[in-house]
Amino acid sequence: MNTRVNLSRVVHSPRMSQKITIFRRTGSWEYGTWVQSDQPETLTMRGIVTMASAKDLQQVPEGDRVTGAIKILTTERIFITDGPAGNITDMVFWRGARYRVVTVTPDIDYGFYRSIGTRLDGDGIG
Amino acid sequence: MALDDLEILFYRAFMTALGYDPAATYERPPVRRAWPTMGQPDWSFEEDVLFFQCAFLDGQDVSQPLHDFWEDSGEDLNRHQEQTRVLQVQMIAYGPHGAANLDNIRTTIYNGMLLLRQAGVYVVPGNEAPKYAPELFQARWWRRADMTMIFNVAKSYDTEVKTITSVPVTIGANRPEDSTTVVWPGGIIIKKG
Repeated sequence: MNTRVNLSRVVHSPRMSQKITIFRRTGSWEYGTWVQSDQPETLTMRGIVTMASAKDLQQVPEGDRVTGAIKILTTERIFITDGPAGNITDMVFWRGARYRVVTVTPDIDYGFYRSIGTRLDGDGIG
Repeated sequence: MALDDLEILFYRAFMTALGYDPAATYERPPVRRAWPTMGQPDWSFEEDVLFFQCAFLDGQDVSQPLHDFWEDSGEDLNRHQEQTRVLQVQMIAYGPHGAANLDNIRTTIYNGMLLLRQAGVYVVPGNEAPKYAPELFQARWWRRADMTMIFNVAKSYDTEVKTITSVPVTIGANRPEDSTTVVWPGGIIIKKG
């Protein structure tokens, strides 16, 4: 008897989950540099988004720079760069800011993927 | 040439030296430029991949242009300046044949490459050698070899020097009865009549 807990219903719970937009990019090599396509595939998933690292202000001599990271729980796989498979890391758009996925923990045995995205934009309301 | 143009030039040179077609499109190119802005696909343990990066060499550069020519350009002039800049190309070769590939590149470049000569890029002979330095990554030692080569690069600058065709002049004349000269605020004295 399989007693393993499957948390996918929690991840999709209407009271906890929200819509997440994923930009999945393809690209090609030009003169030894990977050039991403201008038109990424846009995917919509449902999942839970929480803060992994606060939206933080760094006051450097050149100006203010904003950092931060989010944690994303989904039941569908989010891609991280995998050269042989031809995947390049996904980008998540959440609350006006873009986040580049840097960590994916495949807890799929328990019904979900846990990903961390690093903030790309210094603006946005996220 | 800007650094970006130089890196494209060296991509073509390295691909040629390794026996690949630099104009062809590869799904997994054997020569790649390092430090991609938004990342790029990785490579596998058994793949021979050369990474390189160009940078002007500190301390070797002649920062002041040594040749200075002024040429007619219609009503204007064109200032043409030339200097030699010193470029350092760092190469990191992964894979089973990485060190051998660096040997091939060094020999091919020392034999002379028309591609580089036509672009005004000349190798500075040195005693560089591929340094075999395997790298521990994810519980495996990846075969890796490094090499650095130095090049002189012809660099030119063109500046358009516009001809002065008119200048705004305002003369505030003294009253006729007061004096026989007009004194310009800048100290110029103009004798009247």
